[in-house]
Amino acid sequence: MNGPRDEFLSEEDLDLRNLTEAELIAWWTTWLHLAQASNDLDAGAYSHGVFTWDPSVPRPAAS
Amino acid sequence: MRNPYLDLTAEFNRGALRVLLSSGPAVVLHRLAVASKDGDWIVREQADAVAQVLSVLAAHGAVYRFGAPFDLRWLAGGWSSHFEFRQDDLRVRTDFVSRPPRLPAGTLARMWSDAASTGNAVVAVTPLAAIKLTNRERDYAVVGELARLMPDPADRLRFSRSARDLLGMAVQRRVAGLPLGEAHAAITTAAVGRLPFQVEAP
Repeated sequence: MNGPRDEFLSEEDLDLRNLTEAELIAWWTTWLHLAQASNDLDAGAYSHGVFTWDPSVPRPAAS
Repeated sequence: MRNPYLDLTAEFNRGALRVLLSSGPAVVLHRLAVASKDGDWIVREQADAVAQVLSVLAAHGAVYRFGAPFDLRWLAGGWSSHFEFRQDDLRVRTDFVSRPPRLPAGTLARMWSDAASTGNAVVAVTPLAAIKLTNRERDYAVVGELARLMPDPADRLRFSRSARDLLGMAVQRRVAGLPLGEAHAAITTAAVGRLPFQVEAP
């Protein structure tokens, strides 16, 4: 097939294929550390059933 | 730099295959996207596996999150269990299920068999796509890219999220003199003339 291709993920994500195994793990681990910045916002986030938020965790105040 | 989810997988599987890395971490290891802060595993529905996982989690000081008890009776009912602990500056969340949704028992048995024979404790692309058919829209971006990695053309047809890819596969099959499945033929017939791009034979 010619022409453009549907892309579902970002260029940054798709570039993961070009990393070595060590680079992939290093980037993943670095991303995990960076993502801790949102811990307060997703403290009760839940995506394993009909609940979307752990009912025992107060929702963060809307900004 | 140590990755907590790879380290945990090694600890869970020390001496025997007890868990398979699934969902978000598996998507990373298939090199598609880094998008989940949590660790997800399929655990063998065996007492030894549950005991080992609990022992490792206890050593890390993990506590339960909202969810079912990590117990064979609950796992066998399709429930999931969730824990959390701190490791330096990381909040480590761990999610477990023994009967992931949308995977028949035979598929699950083959996954364990394949992992044992290959030593690769990461859920393969096709069952991973089935697991990712959730009610979260963002998961379908991953499913669309997973489909492109599937070795079986029938699976690529089943999981594709791209009209371009479906039409391209239809053209390739027609050029090769292969019949289209009923669903695939219906999709391509409906799409031809209605999409804003042309599909040409390769």
